[in-house]
Amino acid sequence: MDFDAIYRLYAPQIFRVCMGYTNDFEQAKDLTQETFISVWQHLASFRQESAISTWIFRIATNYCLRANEKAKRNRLTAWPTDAPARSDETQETREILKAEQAKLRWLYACIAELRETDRIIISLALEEVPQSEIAAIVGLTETNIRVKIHRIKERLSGKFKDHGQFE
Amino acid sequence: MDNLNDLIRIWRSAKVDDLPATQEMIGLIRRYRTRKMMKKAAMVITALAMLSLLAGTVFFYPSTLLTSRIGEGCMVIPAVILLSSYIRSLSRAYRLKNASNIDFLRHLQEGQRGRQRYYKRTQPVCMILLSLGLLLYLFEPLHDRLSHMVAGYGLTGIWLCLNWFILRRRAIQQHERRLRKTLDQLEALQNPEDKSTLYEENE
Repeated sequence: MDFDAIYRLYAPQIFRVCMGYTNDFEQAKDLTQETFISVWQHLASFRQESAISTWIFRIATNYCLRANEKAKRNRLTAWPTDAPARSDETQETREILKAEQAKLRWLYACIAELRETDRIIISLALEEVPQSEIAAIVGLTETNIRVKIHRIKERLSGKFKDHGQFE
Repeated sequence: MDNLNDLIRIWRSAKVDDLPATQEMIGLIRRYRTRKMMKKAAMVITALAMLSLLAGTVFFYPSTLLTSRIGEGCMVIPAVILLSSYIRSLSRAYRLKNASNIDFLRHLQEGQRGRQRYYKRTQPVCMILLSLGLLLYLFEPLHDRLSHMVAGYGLTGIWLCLNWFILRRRAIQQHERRLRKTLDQLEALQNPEDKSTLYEENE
């Protein structure tokens, strides 16, 4: 698999995971870029002892954890919301999109309240990364991951319900 | 209601259009390569400037004693060795300008091994030759008066000791730290079973 294909396949996933971890749009973009520069640098030495996705997520989550201290010092940059409306969008579509964006922002805000490792675990789970792979990325047992995902999901769903988002 | 699926649906609604396209990302990587090439070019220019300075001194202030001639030779040899190794490295990098990422990475790894050899063999040999050359070259301008010799060789001795025992040692330590960091990073990235770096605080 060459770099071009890897980038096209994984960049959106990595960006969402970084966004889930940092809750900061610009920092998530930077982390995605750093991840792929690292992927490019080390691609030849990748020994294929694990799936390439595990390896890439591992690099990304490493960068997220390293960026944590820096993020605490910086002001967060919000998700850009003032995108110009397309001419073919109806009022109703715009309302739906706005509601979706509000839910997404609320999801990021809820995830941001979790512990660092839990943020990574739920971000990977929401990317539908298999639990065995999450265990390999994070370094916990699969059982532990399953329990954690269940608890985090309950917590997030509770917050969403309290906020009236699943109504 | 399946809450996880609801959460996944919301999660997936994030727009990723602002991410750099593949071509932009490749551009970023090319800039990274260019920075590496520029560093090498700067080294070659510096080595050329030093060689020119040496040649200019020899040309405008021709020496008469044999010690000075030997000294000049001793200083020119390491300059030529350093310059040729930098040029070789630069030409290798230039040939790889349009090579695949894998070939370029291989070149970087070879370069890393080359630097280790440089610190262990080439640099000490060059420094011995330069020190010897300088000490021999200084004999001609200083040998007339004992006080000049004491002062000149004293200062040169201090300068050489500073280079040998402090600056060189510091440069090697710095290089080893960088190399260790890179190797640790490579090991951490390649070994998915290694848990020590990230999650030891977790449970």
